[in-house]
Amino acid sequence: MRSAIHPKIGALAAIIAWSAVGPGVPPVPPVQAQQAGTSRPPEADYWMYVAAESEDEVALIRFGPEGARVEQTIPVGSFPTDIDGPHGIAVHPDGSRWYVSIAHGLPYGEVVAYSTETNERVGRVKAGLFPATMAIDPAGLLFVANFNLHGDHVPSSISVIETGSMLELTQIETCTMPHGARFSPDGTMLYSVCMMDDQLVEIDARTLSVRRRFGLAPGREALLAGQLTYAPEMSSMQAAEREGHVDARCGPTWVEAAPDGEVVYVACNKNAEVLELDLGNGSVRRRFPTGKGPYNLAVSPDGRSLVVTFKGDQAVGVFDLETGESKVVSTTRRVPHGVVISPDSRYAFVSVEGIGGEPGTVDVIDVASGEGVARVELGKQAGGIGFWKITP
Amino acid sequence: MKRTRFGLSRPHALASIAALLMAVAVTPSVQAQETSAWTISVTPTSLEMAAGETARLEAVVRDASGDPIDAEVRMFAPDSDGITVDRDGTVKATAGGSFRVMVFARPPEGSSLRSEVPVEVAWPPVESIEMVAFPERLYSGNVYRVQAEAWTEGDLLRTDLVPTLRSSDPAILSVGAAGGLSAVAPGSARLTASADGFDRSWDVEVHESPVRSVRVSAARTTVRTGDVVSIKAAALDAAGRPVADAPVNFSVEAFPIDTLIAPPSAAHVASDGRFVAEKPGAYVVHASSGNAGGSIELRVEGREVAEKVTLLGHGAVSEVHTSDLWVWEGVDGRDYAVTGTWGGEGKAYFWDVTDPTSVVKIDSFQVDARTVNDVKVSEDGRVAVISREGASNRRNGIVILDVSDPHNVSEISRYDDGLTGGVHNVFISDGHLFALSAGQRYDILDIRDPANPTKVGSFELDTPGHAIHDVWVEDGIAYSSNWSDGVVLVDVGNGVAGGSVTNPVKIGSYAYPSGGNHAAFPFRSESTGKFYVIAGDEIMPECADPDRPCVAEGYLHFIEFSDPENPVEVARYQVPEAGSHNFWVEGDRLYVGYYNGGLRVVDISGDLMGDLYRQGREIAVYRAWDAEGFVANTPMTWGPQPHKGNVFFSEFNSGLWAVRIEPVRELVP
Repeated sequence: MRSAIHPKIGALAAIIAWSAVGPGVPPVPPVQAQQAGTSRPPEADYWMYVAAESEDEVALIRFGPEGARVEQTIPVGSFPTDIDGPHGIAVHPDGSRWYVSIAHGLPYGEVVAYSTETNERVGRVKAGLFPATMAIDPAGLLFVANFNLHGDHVPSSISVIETGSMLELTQIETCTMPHGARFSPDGTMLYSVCMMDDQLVEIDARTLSVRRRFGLAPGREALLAGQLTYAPEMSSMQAAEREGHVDARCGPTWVEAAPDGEVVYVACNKNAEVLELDLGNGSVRRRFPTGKGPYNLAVSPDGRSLVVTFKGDQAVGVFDLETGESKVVSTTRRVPHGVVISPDSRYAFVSVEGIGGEPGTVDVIDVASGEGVARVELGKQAGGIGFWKITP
Repeated sequence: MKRTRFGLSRPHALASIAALLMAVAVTPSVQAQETSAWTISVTPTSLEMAAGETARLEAVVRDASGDPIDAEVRMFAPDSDGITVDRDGTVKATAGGSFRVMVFARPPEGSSLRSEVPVEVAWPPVESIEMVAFPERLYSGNVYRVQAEAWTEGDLLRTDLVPTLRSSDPAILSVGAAGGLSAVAPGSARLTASADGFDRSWDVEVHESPVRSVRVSAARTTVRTGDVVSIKAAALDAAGRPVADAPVNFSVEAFPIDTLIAPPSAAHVASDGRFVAEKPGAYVVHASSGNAGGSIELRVEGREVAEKVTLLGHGAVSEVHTSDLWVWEGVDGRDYAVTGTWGGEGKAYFWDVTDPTSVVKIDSFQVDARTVNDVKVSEDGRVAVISREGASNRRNGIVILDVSDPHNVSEISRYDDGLTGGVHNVFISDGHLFALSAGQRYDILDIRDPANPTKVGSFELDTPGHAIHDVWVEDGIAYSSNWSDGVVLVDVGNGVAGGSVTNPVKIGSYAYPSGGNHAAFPFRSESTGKFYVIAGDEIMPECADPDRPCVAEGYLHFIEFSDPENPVEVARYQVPEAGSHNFWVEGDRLYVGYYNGGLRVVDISGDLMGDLYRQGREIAVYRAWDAEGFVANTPMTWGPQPHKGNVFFSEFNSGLWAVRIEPVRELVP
């Protein structure tokens, strides 16, 4: 017999009011779906794919006037009696395919392509160790951060996959534990950060090579001029250890550029802040204090808002980028992970892992009001989330 | 493939070939792909070259005006078994065949540009043919298996080509349909091998066979199915002396019992004379050498090892998948079991199985994990180790538990340093824990003080892309299962190779083509004294969803490891339309969790040869049907463990089961 909250019950997971929570989960604000505060109900349907890492599933989520629901659950992975760990999600710009990175392999992980029309597998390619975050450019090149979460602390890479042929073109060495991969607004530069080196790497998407590196050690944020290849002495973490300041770490886990392309926002997971980094000279323009463990973030396409998941605080921060003011929104379960904002800048969709046997969830937040408006349960350890489309 | 040349001088050695960089533009036109306003063209549009040669591709990206622009171009050879391509577009052919080079470019805007260049690689001309293991002396009346190899200029072996053989005088020496050489009669003949237009000939002398009789014997002539009988055959001359260089060929004639209608292939005799039958009946093994021969008749009876299976008890787990189990005698003299859970909320369940007809859940222990894949208990019954995968903090590792009172299990310590990637399997041996780390290596922890586990050693293969799935330790030797790298034996304290837990030393290994090695179990046959390692597959291409019934694949490989440097795979146990998982040997019995094939118990006494499944060696089969299972009525046997005369096994979909296997009682009239 299954648990009543198992995501494959399907219909039971369909529409769940924001206030409906599982056993053992702290209470959430008593608001009704699409009815709370100043939020107005959506007029369109928003579609996204979300990976459930400890369920070996990807859920197709639909949020609209009828609330949020799981439209389909797609089993992924190769070994049904092992957890293969789907981690990152990306959707092709033309909407025809979605991609999931499978973290665990023998030993290398892989990227698997699915048709959005049928949700059936249409291609696969081996990547590096623990492939995680992905980003795809308008040209159809998929960049995959080979996180190597559990390996030795050695430089890892970004795999570049040509999605038409599903061939890995190259692996671009960046630094230790690369995580996060997002493009500049014009699609020419890819930004990725490395947790264990306190470093931001800018990759030229045309030459498929590292263009610039930025140091992110607290108080020493700067452009690392002339440093294109990795060198251990560039690691601010190692430097901090040498100097006995092991706590003074950014521990970056995510980066995303502002729509104007002048700054990027970096989540410093270790010291609870988001940096607004000037891409011209690597200086910090603003620092946004956050909750514990900022992990992923997203900038609204209109450039007004920044939404940050606080992995250690069961909460999400919604920042007004004009005023710098923020609002903290509790998530329905523990360990919020990923976030995407709809192209109309209206909603933030937050994946929440949960603990142990708890189902994962996607919390829907009205960006303007900072209010949770819906949630839906899916498989355990919801993580990677990729926005697909808006339909009338 | 016929080699086509393009007006280039043919190099005479591989080194000189590699040094030659040639541009082989076949057609003047360019193949272009246009995306938006940008185009990419590659010259030449196709390549025809010979193995060992190099060529260069040039790619140009142009803007809407047709002007070349500076854009990064990358070239790749997806079919890397025949060609390689460098970043500068240099294509090197290493084997004949049809291949392709994929060319990609990123213009300043718009989609990426892609072009594909077909590459036809012809083999260089064959310049020699060599015979492998050709007998020094041919005797009339015998068929010889020979192997010819074709080598090209540049010392490339034609892997795609088997030279054809023909004889100048088939009355002396003839060539069979499968390439065997039949020495028909004394005399001389010219044997010619041909490959790709190249011929090489040898003058072959066929001698009159001195063999006048073949003496055939066997230690036993009445056996059971599955028994391996070594047939001895001595080729003797007229004086009764052995002819050392005379070959002996074996064949078998089968007369299965008459109740076996339309019998399958019922027996096999190997080229060294080892015979095994799968069905009862009469068999005649013929041994021939030249025109002389001898025979021996064998009587084969049914093995008759089937026993009765009685279900004793069931500890149901229906809310989550169940993983591995361990059964042990507790410090209080009672019997206990621990089972893990898979894809759930990180629990391990503890059971009192003293009375296997009443399996009672007595405690549980929960850790931050989704899967507790493996559970093991120390030899003294006081300490258990459970593995963690899917921890919410992603640190995983292992947890050491005090199980001296299994009714009140408590945590002693946890350890995750170096094990954050998830621990899939563990093993406890002599105060040390062997724990897999992220499927890449195993770390060795000293847990003699379980409150303070300390890493003392580690072992990792150095093969490209290696991975590990399991490890089992016995007598100071670790037997790890390493997918395509097969079974690896490591001295971790035995001393045979000077190894220890702090200095693991590899002893030997055995890999097999499927690359599916998932589990290993060493055993010394009680009945023969021979030492084997069973290497088990895990292959599940048709099982996409753990929450649905599926048909697994894979089987058990029996590898005789008496000589670690020369392991030999001698037998298999392959259940049709089911797949092997975990297994255990006690005495001369094999217990297998065969996934959808259920629990299988197999008689592995005596020498082993062929497919044990087909030889009537199965003692018992039990499929655990449970209408209340996590997936209802879906046997998916994870692993067995015999304990005090009973057999316990974990079911992926339904928990812990206990059965008794005992001889069928004869009715007394």
